[in-house]
Amino acid sequence: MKQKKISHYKTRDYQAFLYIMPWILGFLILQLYPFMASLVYSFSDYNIGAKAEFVGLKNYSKLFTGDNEFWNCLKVTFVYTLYTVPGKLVMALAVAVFLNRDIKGINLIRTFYYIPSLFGGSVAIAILWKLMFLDNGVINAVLNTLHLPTVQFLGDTRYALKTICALEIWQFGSSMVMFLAALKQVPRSLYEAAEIDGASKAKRFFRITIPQITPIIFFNMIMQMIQALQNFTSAFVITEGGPLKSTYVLGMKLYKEGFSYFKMGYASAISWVVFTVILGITLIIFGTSKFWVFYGDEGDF
Amino acid sequence: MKKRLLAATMAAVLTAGLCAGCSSGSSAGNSAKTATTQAQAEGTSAAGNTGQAAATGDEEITLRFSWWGGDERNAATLEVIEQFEQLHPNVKIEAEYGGNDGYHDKLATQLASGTAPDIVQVDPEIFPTYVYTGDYFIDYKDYEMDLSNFEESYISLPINGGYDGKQLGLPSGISGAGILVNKDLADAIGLDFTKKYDWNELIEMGKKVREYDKDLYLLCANKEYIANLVVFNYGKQLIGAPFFDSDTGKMNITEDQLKQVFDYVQLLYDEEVVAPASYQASYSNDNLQSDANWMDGKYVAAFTYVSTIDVMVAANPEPNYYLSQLPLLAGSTESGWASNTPQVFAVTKTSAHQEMAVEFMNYFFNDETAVATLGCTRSVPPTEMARKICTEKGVLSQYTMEGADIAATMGGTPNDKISSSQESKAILFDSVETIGYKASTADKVAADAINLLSGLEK
Amino acid sequence: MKTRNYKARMVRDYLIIFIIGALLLYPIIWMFFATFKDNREILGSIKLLPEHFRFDYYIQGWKGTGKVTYTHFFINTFLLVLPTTILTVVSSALVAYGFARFKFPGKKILFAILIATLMLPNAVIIIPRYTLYNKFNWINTYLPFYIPAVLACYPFFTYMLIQFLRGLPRELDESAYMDGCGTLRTFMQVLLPLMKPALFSAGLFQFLWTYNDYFNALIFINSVKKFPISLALRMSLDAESVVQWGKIMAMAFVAVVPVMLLFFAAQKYFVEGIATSGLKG
Repeated sequence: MKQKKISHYKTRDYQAFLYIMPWILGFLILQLYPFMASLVYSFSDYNIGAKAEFVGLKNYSKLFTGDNEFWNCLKVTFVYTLYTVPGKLVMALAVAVFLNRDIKGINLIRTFYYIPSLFGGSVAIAILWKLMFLDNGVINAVLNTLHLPTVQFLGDTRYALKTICALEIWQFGSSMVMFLAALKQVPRSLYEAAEIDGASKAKRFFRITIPQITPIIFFNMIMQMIQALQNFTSAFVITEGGPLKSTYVLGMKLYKEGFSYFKMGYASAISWVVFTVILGITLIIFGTSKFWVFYGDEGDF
Repeated sequence: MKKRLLAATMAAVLTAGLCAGCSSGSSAGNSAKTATTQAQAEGTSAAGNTGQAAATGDEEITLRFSWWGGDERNAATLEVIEQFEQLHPNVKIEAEYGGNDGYHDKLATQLASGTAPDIVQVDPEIFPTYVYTGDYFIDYKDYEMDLSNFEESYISLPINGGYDGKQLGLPSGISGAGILVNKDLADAIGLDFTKKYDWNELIEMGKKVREYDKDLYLLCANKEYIANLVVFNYGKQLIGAPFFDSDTGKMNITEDQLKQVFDYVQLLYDEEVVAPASYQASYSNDNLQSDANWMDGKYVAAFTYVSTIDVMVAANPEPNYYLSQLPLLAGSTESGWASNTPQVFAVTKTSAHQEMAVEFMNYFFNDETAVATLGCTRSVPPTEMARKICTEKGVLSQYTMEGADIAATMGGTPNDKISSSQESKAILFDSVETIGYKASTADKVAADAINLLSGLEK
Repeated sequence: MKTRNYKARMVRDYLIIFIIGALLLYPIIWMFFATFKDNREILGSIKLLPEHFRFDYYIQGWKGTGKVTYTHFFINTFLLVLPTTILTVVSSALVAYGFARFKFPGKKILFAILIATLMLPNAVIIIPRYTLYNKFNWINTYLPFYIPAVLACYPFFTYMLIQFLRGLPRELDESAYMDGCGTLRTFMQVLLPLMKPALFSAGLFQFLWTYNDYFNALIFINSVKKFPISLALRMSLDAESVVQWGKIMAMAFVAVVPVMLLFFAAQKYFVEGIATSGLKG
């Protein structure tokens, strides 16, 4: 029998406002206000220092019709996201499942695998990556020793983006840790019952394991996607958007327009486009989540 | 009841954190006192202001001073700060230094929000953008700045800080561009950079190098250097003027002319005068000294600025070097390049202690001890007095002097403020890159570039 | 038969684990050895081990630039990162509790807003935020980091904790209420202990993010005296001097060590938290 939705709130429920009060304050002052301010900027011609002049939709029309870099940026950003998000999730899940058993030294292994993730967004590691993938860097030195030709990881338009993606996927450890935690949370009893019913390993994996951890998969997917669409540091430090703009992600274009050219109005317009894209994709994923995400509180939210 | 009280208290504590932040921030935090109205009042009080008012008082003054630099420059500058603080015990100078990367982005933000330091070091090609988008800097002439050591004709140039009769910035040194030649290698191949030569001869030299040894190239370069030193110079030599007219804001260069320039760039890559574009990609911007080929002595020469000569030499110290001019276009009246400063120093109008800031600049540029300490960490010093002291003390590197001397002999026109803007340069960097990667032909690239550049016309 | 298969599988498993681990850790290991090499050895050579183990680069690097040494930079970093982390975890947990366990008017809208803020690109709000902080005189202090932490402005952690809380059965709350606990007691005595792994995760992540942060620090912190390590590292890379890769790698490695130590240490708690689960069957 489906439980009737509670339309009355218990008095206790109003205490929720106390708990979420800090966030409401933070949201209003530190997020909503700057957000609205930048929207106003996006409709104006605001070069740093000068007064902002209202120009209506000019920034947006220029962006979509007059700026040939923009569509390339979108494409590059999407490709980057499509490589790194599934790449990271699949690696993380595969390794987590593989490690989720009685292996001696599992803690140590897990720690070591996690180490690359410790450097998320770190400038130092971006520099290290660049140093390693130079034409005369150590990666090419290894290739040469194996009698393979030198690959111009940073200079060749075919490889530059993949090199940046590699840096991101290398850091799958953080997702892996979360998956491991989630896997541990799956009640043993479910597996035991399934085994008694004669389910195979594969069946148990797909029918029990995966559904049980869908909240975490979902969460990871959304977060990685949002992060990937805004990527900036690695493209900026390692390849500077090149070569030939093959790694010129939206985050970089936004930064360049705003901070190098001082066109804050235009940059704000770009940021709003980024935001809309993220919003759209997130809503789609949220929409589909009804069909594949399984919650312990039975969706009673 | 008790629990609810507890919950309420917790929430209150958290929000109290916000209020605590407000009060403690204003007293403890920011050392720069941004007093715009006071600054404007001080600004209008012209040269009659004796400037002694702030200096010798018992008032505690804190100045913020920002610059970018490497270890040597930072150490020297900090020492000069210390010297000044000892002479003025009531003054404290907060040093805000760091790397070049992101420096101007941050400065732009600070200027826009009125939180810029009192004294700022600025790239002379980015300086015009600040000058024309806002009224940020004081005119040194309104204050007690001793400009007698500088040559008037030198500091009145916009590139050196002189705008419309006002002295908004002071040049930190004498710089310019040139070619650093590996003498040993050049002699071995039989190339002579000591005489004047033109662009075609440069190509011929490049070909000769490739015939001599397939591992060598003539020039160490990247797309930025090629755009700055080849496209701009060749272009200016071709049209006899800067790319844009500063007064009218219109373009001087035509599509045909730009195509001719890009044809030449194509030749540089086709004839392998420079390393392939995909190789250069790893050493863009100011990273030529990291170019592995350069470190291994595989280039005969390199594009440089006077300020980067020592850095390039240090990356490969074994050979003998000499400096040479950039190529000239046969029959041109315009050399396209001249000596200019590597940085300008300005005092911001939002400074609450403009007189003291100027006092510090006085010390920085005119005091003998200061000058000797700074040496040539910012290239050849801008005043004759300073150069003499540095030569006496032997802190001026021979190569840097050579480079500065050569730059000083050229009397070309520096870039106008439009073509030296970041946006315009980005268009040219991209064009050079496209040509280098053979992603398009010179005429198409020229057409695209002209299209984009015309968007920058006023 | 069974034992042979089992042993073979064990060997295979460990081999796979080792290979993956090696690939993952190679860059770090390489970086470690690079701290002892000069430029020639770093570029163009596959030799992992340097010719001599010189500690020069560590010593030179530690001195920093100017008069500020890395001791100072480390202290700054911890002054910046620790309060931010603790404040974030506390406020995010409370806010998450409010969302996950209560029904209240406007909840759906507010939650939607929370999710929306997850997607707020930092670059959009940075300039208005800068101007705002400037009005409060918070620039060049660590307040631009503390205050958003106090106000749970890191929706990532709030969301993560909400998701985690939703995985804990409601019955726990109900039984606590029936025992006469109020909401706060229920939270602190029943739910919080079960949330330990998630709280640690949140804390660790926030610690890492703030520790590694470069862009925000660059904008809000001006004086070298207040630089955290991320800014200090970048400073040593200025193009005007010859780049000594060994020195940079040395300081980069030193910067990474505390994080690794922390993780090794916290790992134990992490494991224990997962091992004890609240409800069985």
